[in-house]
Amino acid sequence: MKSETPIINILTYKLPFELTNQIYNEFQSRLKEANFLIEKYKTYSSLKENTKTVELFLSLSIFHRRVITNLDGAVKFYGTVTKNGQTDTVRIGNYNLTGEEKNKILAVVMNYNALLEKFSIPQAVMEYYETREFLKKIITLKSELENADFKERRTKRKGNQTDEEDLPF
Amino acid sequence: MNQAKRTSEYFEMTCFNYIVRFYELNGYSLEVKNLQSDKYRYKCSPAGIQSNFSHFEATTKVGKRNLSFEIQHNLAVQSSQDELLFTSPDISVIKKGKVKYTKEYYDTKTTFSYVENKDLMTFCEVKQFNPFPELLFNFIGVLNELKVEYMTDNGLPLPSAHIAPSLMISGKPNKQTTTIRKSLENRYCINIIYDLFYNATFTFSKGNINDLRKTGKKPSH
Repeated sequence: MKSETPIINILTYKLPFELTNQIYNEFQSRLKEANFLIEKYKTYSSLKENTKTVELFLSLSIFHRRVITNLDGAVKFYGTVTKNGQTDTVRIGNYNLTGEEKNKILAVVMNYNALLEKFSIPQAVMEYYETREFLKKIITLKSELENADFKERRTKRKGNQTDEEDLPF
Repeated sequence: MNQAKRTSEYFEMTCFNYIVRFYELNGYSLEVKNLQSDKYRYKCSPAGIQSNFSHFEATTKVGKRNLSFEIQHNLAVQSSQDELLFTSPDISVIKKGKVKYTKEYYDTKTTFSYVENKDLMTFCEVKQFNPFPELLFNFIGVLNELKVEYMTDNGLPLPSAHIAPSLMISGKPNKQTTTIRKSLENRYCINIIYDLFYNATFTFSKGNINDLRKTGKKPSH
């Protein structure tokens, strides 16, 4: 049987141990809680058939909060420094955040946002404090996507009917 | 280079950036100072001599006078309760040119950089956590040590606007920590800012900057 690499392992691949540890611990603890809530409470039971998707969104949201938002902050700080000073480099320890480095970080943030947009994932899904709040957001998103899908199919069906009615025979 | 190694520094930078923005939106002119070999050298920890690192200078006009302040990171500040005690808030706003140096603080005669308590205007603590009660109450301990005069709902008025001592937290609050924030902000001249990644753009925007508590008298709403 072909084994799948868990999404959390893919997202934390090559991250330093300390950060990976934080992400992984939060993920495991929230996943356990999410599975418990889905299994035991009616409010969340509609997600029983989507546990893989829940796992994916959960890992993505933790990655978003602990990695992407910090990178975005670095880009903004670089902008403030270069706007107010005669310099194009921010030195952090032994590392030089130059314009070129800033652009690389910016590209990561932009690519990440483009991916969210491509797969119609609203940023609001990433914003939660408690795991139950996250699950409620996933339920809402699921319902919105299903409604949109239903409407699209209905429009298509209607379109086909009209075409048939338009036929002269 | 692996950017992930620096995420906690990037978080501090994000908060520092918002404080700089606060001063910009309150009419201060800003300038980067003390570049090191044409680079902005960011101080990532309390260790190190302050003059080897860069900072922002914020200047405003009050009457005919220009008042200048330094926005510093990780600078040791003298306690307001005991002059032998020091602690380093993540961000501190001090009077211009008031960083002092001594070799008497450590046993090893290493240079120690600090600012006297009378020269501290305000400070901010930055935490990349979800808020929890002990974290919030600990901040009041730091406030008591560094700015005891703001342990009232009516802080001392200053000639120019400064952000009230602030605790900036990345995580979202729950019902309990929301209640604690409300109570603490009612009692003391402070800001507790939650959910920094999502709300800060809104909180530190032109239209909302005045909702942040400033040093001085409590605004009447």
